[in-house]
Amino acid sequence: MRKVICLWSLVMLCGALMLNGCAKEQVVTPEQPLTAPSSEKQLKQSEAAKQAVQEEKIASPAIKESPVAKDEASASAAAAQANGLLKTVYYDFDSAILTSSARDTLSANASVLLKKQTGLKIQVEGHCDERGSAEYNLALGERRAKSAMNYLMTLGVPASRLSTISYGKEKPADPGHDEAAWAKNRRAEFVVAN
Amino acid sequence: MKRCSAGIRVLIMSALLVAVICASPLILSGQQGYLEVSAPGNRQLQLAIAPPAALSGGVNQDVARAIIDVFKFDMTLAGPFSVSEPQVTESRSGIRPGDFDMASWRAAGTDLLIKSGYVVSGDSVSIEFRLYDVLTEKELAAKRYTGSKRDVRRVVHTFSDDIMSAMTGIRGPFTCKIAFVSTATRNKEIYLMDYDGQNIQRITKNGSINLYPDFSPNGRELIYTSYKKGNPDLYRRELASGAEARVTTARGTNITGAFAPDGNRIALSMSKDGNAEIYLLSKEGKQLSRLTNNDAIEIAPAWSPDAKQIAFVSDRLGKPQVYIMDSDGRNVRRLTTSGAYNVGPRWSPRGDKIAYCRQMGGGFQIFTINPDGTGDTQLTREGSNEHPRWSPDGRFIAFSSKRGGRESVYIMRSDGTGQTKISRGGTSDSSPVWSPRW
Amino acid sequence: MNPSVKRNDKGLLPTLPVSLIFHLAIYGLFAWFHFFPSAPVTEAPVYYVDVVNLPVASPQQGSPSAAGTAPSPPPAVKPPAPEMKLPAKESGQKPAGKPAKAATTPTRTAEESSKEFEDRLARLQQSSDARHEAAAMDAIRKKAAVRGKGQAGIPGGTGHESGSDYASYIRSRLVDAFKTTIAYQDKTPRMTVILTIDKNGRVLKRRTESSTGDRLFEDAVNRAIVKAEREFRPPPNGGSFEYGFIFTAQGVGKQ
Repeated sequence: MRKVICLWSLVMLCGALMLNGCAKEQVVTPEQPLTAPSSEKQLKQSEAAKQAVQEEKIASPAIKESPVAKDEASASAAAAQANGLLKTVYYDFDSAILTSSARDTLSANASVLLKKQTGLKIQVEGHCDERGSAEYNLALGERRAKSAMNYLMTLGVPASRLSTISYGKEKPADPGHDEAAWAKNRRAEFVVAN
Repeated sequence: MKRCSAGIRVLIMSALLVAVICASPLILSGQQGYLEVSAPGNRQLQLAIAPPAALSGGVNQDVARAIIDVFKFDMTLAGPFSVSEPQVTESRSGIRPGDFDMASWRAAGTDLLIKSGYVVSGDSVSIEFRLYDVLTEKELAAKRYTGSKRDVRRVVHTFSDDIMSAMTGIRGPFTCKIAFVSTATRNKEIYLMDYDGQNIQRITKNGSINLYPDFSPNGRELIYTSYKKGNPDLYRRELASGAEARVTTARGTNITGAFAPDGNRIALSMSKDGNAEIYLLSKEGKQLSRLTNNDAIEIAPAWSPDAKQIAFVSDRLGKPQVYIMDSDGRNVRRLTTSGAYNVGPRWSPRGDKIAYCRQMGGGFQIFTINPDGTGDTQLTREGSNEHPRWSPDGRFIAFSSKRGGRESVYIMRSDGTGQTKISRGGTSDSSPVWSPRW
Repeated sequence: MNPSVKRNDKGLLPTLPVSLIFHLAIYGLFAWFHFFPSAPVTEAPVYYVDVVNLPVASPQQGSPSAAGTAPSPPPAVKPPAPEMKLPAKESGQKPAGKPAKAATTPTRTAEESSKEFEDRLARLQQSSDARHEAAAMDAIRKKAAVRGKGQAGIPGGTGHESGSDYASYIRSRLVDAFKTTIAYQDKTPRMTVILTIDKNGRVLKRRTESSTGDRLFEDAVNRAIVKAEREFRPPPNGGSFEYGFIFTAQGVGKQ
């Protein structure tokens, strides 16, 4: 029993001391040093830094590119032949909906493809004017190309002869910055693909 | 036994009493409360650049000039500093602590002082930098670097990064690169430059259209869309070796690829299944999942830094707007509610903001918004500004602007201040992206 | 059962005095601290109380972090109660009230909708008023809490400790110095520093009790202390002095 009392009183004593001590002993962090400690130590990093300096050199990449497709050149030659026959379709601002004049143009193009150039494979190129965001315009250009392609298909041009690509606003037909130029740039072109 | 315990009791009592009595004054002498100390405004620290000293050997004006120029550019852009080169006559002009007179700099109103010294021998340059707090007379950072003469600018940028680390706790992004698209060759090729526009290197040389570069999180790889094989496909290139791999083979647009923070996955807009939707690919090109599925255009995925969410652009309600989804494609919600046409989101590396651009009066302006849709803030006003991309510390934003006529790469602080043109020369530069730290 | 009970009874007896003493001691402690009646209530410490420090957008232009916080507009000032007599009363409330009336009166034609609109407006105004009131009260309460502690003083002081007047003197020195050093990058920087000033007026010890972790701000606080220290007078009574100071950036973090 004596032990119990001793123990208890000890605990209490400790408790009391702690109570008093607390206020004083709060986590006393020593005055925070502002500086990085010793300069000399840091300077030893110079070796490491030197390493980094030397290893960071970006090897100017030796570039082995396959030169851009010859076929693009020949395609454009073939396109030149078809150019006179297949007319470009134009769109309203920020839209891929075919206007009535666009549908007329497409009908004419379809008849060329079905009657005169029956073997020709066509790639429909979708383009946009410069006003939208470049990224969104790439998707919009594709939507335009697809709407034109789908219309040609409903007119009977087999899907196997048609494909699409979008250039967004990357290949403007008219480099101007006015409404007239923009109207010329919102278009779907028909290019011979081989 | 009883007597014994009584004795102990007395002992304990007295001990307690003594403890209580002794402790009380101790407490009372302790601090009793708090007073608030507050001041208005946010001051810039006066940062002085001391003339670089030739530590041994001859004076080299080129090196000295480069040191000052780079520090001036970096520290001015940083924001917290007002940079100057005051003419201070020192009785002793060493650069080590104690080797010069701090009081004369204090008299010039300087808070922080950069001292530097160089040794040029042949092509090799050794530069020593020291940053001092003039008021407390403490050295805050010190480094020595050795490299070739070509490395001087990068070495100074490195110490600028250190200064930011010492002063703000977050390392600067001044040693980073910026990748961008340029029409220098009349095609659109991808280039790399220092963040301040120096050391331009050409990355792609395929004579075709190359678009939307994005760095892998470790900075070693670049992904981009290229028309080099006719169709706009996604490519991945190792910068050091120049090795290039085609990531996508499906026809249709494969655009606006974004490396996941883990570096193993790529979020990408592909139109292979009919119209532009967002997919998750492995970086080798294996399709992991399809995240969006509807008739609308979905492009421009942007990862949150914790990779749990993806912001993207969709025109499901007619016009393009920024949405956020969980990175498994669920829980889609609209982020931007004002403005008819909002595109190009990019999540800050700190996670607290999303930068995007809004079509306004025939051009675009850059905004930031909190991921919960609050705090919509316009950052740019002059000209048309697009394609915001954060620096890895979240302190700056690179973007492209047509304010000078031709499209050029600019940088600014994330609050829109300090807008500075970076790209030089007569080319049209766009789609900048700030590299991670190398 | 019974035996054990007996034994317990016997066992409790001796602990009784110990417990009594301990309770007394604890009571004594408490009494000393809070309820000591004979407090030589010295003259009430002089405090100029700026009633409410309502949030103000940072006026600083061009400095980057300040500009970052600037766009969030300061909440329209609405005094919580008439006796507050805020100087901002006229400027804040009238413009908010007038246009509302102007907007609602001419639209009598469609009575239903205008009434509805009026109701909604009133509700909106009410809720925003309530919010501002709550914010203002909160600010006062916070102030009072901070002040209260200082004001309570140490009745029954031994002369060893210094009065709160010296604390506000130190504060005024710190404020002056802080005005010339303040810089921060986070939105709501805050740092609590306990200063121990020795009998010569030197800063003996400076310990950071808490900080929001804005390095730039912490540096500014340290600079302010170093600057202010040069002007510190020694504490009264020839003793050392310890007090806590909460550093904040004015006009931010009060919402």
